[in-house]
Amino acid sequence: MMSAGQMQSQGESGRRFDKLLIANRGEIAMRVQRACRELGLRTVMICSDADRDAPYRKTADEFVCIGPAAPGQSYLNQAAVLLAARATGAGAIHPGYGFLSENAAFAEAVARAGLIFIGPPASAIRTMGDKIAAKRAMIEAGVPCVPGPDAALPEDIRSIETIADSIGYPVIVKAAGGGGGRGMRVVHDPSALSDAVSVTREEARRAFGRPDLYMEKFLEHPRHIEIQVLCDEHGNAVWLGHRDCSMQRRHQKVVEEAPAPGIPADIVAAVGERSANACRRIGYRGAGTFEFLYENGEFYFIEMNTRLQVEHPVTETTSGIDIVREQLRVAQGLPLTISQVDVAAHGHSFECRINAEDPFTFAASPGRINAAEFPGGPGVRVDTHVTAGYKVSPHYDSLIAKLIVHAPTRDQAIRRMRVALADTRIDGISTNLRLHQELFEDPGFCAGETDIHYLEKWLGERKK
Amino acid sequence: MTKGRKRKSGSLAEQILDPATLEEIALWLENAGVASIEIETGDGRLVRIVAGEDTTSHGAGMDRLVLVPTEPASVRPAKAPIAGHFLPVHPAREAAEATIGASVLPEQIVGFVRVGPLIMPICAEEAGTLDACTVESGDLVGYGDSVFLIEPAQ
Repeated sequence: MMSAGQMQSQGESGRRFDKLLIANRGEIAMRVQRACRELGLRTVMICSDADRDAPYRKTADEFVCIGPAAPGQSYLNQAAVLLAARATGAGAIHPGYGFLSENAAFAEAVARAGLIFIGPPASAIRTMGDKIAAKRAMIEAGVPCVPGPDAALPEDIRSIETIADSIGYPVIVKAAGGGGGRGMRVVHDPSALSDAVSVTREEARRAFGRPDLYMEKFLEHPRHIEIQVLCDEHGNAVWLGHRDCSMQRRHQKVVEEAPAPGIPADIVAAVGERSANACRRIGYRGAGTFEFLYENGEFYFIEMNTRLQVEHPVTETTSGIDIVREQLRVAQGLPLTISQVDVAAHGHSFECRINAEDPFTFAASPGRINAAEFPGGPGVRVDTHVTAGYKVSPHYDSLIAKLIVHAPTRDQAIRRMRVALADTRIDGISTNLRLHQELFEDPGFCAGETDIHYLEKWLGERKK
Repeated sequence: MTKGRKRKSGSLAEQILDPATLEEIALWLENAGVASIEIETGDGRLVRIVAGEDTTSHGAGMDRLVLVPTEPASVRPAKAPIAGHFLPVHPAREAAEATIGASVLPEQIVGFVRVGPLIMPICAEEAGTLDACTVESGDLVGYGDSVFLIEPAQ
């Protein structure tokens, strides 16, 4: 077996980079760091003033503060990140998720600086960031899309009314530059169309810097299903299975599972293969996720996330493939270690996002964690950066841990998650642990195949 | 706190010591589940307010007050403005901007941080005597890291 030191010296003579800067924080910074250490890559971890005591500083080769706590002055500050890479001699930058991970300008700036961006080419990020261009690219690749034109809405309201009539109400008006649930409005009848277009256009102009809108059929009870893809620069692209991320509150995922229950394998396989084919057509590289709405046995593409996702572990546990490791290998110019025939989904996996928030009001709960205990045992994985004594900062996302379980069947995975949740203890701050515990006892959720509105409705009933 | 009760005016320290303010802070601590809070006043004193055992007593703020008198900080840091490598001397000059033991003025350059071709000054935040340098030439420093210690002028 080759030691880390041997791998390092071998790498220094042949690899594109031996030192990588992780431009992120929290659990994902730790996740990427672990993958780097396994591959014998040296890591530079950056932090803001608020994260100076992050636990992963102990295992980083270099740890450097790049700015104040405000994300705009640290984790989103492209110049500061690039200067830190320059100062530390890093050869590549892994953006994690959020922050700069889907910023095409940053990906270009990284390349201009002579560094490697761990992600797709900037052109792919830009195409997928423009929802109209993304839809056009998907239609060309044969990926099924939500009914509606692959073009921006005209200015003239009569023409817009004609488009809505041809699609059929209800329709949804969306900002071309939007995403994450922002910049969209559902219109149920023609009388509300004009106002919805005006308001959404103004919102798009203010929030995304461009007023372009598009329109699609509004699906009333869809599920949110994702296809994970991996691509290298040698023309290889594979899909690693599918995930169900329908348990959402305000467009934020709370629980994810893989595979999505109750979807015929042949339907998924057809969509998965078309997704992989779309990646080959646009010259995609690295990890990516195709997001679909699924209703009445049909898939409808909504967007592609050109990065690693929070929920990637459920696919890792069912496929047995380390997605971050593959990302790093692809960035080194190496071919994927797997081909499509090697990919299979084994068993069932769930992920619970543990957030520092009140389980009823969902108000953020920053503060010091006095005690932290996490579960273990077969089929249990915990991705977290927190320990007893850790201070949850009010400046960032409230995600503090991801509990992931894997078992041969969905029912067994549910039982395993119940035990894992019961064995988790976080004192000193409020968390949504209780929400997860209640959800995993809910008959509707446990039966599976719930739609994207289920959790909101369930929460409404819970308040009563 | 009791509605309509007047607070003292005056310095921050005087305001914090006002019973009405103390009671209000104690209530905030209880509601937030926070055990204690420390407030550093402008004159260098540290006020620590600790949530008491008896959470039912009215006006418990006074009972929970612990005053921790401290001396004003004896030294102040001069911090790196950016992540990079520390340079005690500008590459285009022969002598350091300031040497240990020298008097410095606010905003005076005392060292540099280098990132590639970019050189950023490290400045003293207040007048005093340059007491110590906490890093070696060429060391990697981060934004906000203390590079020099300055003893404030009396």
